[in-house]
Amino acid sequence: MEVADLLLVERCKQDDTDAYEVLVDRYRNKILNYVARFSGAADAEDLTQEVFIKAYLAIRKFQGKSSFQTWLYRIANNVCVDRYRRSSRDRIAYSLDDPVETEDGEVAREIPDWSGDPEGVAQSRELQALVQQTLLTLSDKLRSVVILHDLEGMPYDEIAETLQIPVGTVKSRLFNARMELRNKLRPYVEGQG
Amino acid sequence: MHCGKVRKLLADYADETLSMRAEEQVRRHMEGCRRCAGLAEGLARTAALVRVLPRLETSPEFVRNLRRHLPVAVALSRRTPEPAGVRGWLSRHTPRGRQHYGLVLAPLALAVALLVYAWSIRTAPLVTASEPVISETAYLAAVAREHALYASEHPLMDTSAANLSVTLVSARKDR
Ligand SMILES: [Zn+2]
Repeated sequence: MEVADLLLVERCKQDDTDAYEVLVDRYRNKILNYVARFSGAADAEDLTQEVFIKAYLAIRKFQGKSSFQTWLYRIANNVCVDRYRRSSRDRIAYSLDDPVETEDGEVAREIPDWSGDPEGVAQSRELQALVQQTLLTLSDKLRSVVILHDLEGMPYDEIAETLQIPVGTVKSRLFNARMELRNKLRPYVEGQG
Repeated sequence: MHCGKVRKLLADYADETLSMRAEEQVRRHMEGCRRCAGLAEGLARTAALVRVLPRLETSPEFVRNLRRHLPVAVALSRRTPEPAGVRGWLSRHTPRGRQHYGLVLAPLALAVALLVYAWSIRTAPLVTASEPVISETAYLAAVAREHALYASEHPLMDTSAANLSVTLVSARKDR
């Protein structure tokens, strides 16, 4: 039977690192995905380590007012925003006309031919890299909401709790984020039809 | 229902979280309004497009790395220096919420401390057998050494040394 998060947290407060490992195992992939999509960083796994270290050091301050997951995502969001701020000072603004970087090296950005096998093209690494880079052009505020909702599948009220904003703000940010993405990815969005 | 209101509901409409009645109203509006219908479709497709991003999984080393980092982080975080001198002694011995005790205790403690100090420099040699104090730089150097060792064994895997020390220093400053 699965031990409830809050019970494990209480054990962590008594320095029980085994209990913490159960929590880490439960949430490591969720946090990794959030961190990777938010930061676009190649070292997302190191950032994820940072999130779990911060969480453990602060666990005595966790009061159980929100779920452990919500609290963890909040730390992840803070770590990401902080990292992004630090690294964006050195980052050169890129435009959507720049070549897309993939693991096979740089390839020129071109609109794929949808007439062939749209499923296959949609799965391509090139499109994934393009979507990831487009996500990074959104502001922190819009990006966090669209990732939490559209990728992590988090409901509005939990997003509101994680980011400590009203539910109405979550909805309007989600709308604005999708509008901005739609405009930037227009050829891909329309080509799918 | 007018276009402005419909657009506010589009995210909920796409997620099918509207009430039956509101959903019906939005649907009816979009039958007559091509602009809203087009927008709704575009937004739904955008959400679908974002989901081409694959799910990632942590590497098999993730938990093992955390097991190595966590004790170091905990050790460093517990080295938060307490306020020194009479002030520190008072802050450790004054019950919370009863700070006025400190006002009474302060002169007393100062007097006792001065007496003890005067007595100790007369009777004892200056070297005391207290715990060895390791400087912050020495601690960080130890952490860095540990990582350097690890990084030389696994050159492509461990890039977290710098992050970790930044984390630890900032975590300690937060306290
Ligand atoms: Zn309309």
